[in-house]
Amino acid sequence: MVEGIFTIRNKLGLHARPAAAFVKKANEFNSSIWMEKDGTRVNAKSIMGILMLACPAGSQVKLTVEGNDEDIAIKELGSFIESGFNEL
Amino acid sequence: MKLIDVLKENCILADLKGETKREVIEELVYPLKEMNLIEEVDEAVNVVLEREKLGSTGIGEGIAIPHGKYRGINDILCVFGKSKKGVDFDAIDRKPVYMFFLILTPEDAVNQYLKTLSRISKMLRDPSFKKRLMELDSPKDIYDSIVEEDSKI
Repeated sequence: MVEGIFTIRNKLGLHARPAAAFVKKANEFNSSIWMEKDGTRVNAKSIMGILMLACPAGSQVKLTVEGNDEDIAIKELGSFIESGFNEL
Repeated sequence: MKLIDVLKENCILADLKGETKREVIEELVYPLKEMNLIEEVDEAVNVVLEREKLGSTGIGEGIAIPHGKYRGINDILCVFGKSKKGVDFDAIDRKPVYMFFLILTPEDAVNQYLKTLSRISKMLRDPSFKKRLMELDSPKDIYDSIVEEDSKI
């Protein structure tokens, strides 16, 4: 299991479009992936899960990844978050 | 915030007739015009359709959250609509969409918008609530059910 904390950097936060893009990417990995903010943890392969977290710009989320491709998954998903979901 | 802060009782459509993305969005926008909450139906429909071009807001599991920024409103406006036979909305899971939450947002209401999305997601997380929403036929019952669930979470 690997974990990392990442910052939401795009100015609109984790709204519907980045949530969809993130989930699409997350589903490319076999590992189980969770996203956590303020003590609420959700399945990061579900758009509705991620939207529940209501992450504005500047907020931090924790990713927890467990599975055979956990290292590459956390690296790619973490940098996708830090890149502002390519919306910067 | 609560969902009922932005979703008024007159903004529940229990039986959408539209069969295409455009038809459904037009139906969903209409109650806002009826209630004089917006003036330009065409403009509202267009901003929502433009947003759809960037990627469908059909987020899977039969749910869509079509939305767009609409000039001249001060608060977020939401309309709930239900389609009995389902609509092809290019949803992410390719499945038909049965439940729609249309959201119009003012230009600068990012956090309020994120909270609205969060509220909707939290409610729909409960499968028994989702099932109840699908089964109810009258707008009044649907609204009451949403109010009840909204107060629980």
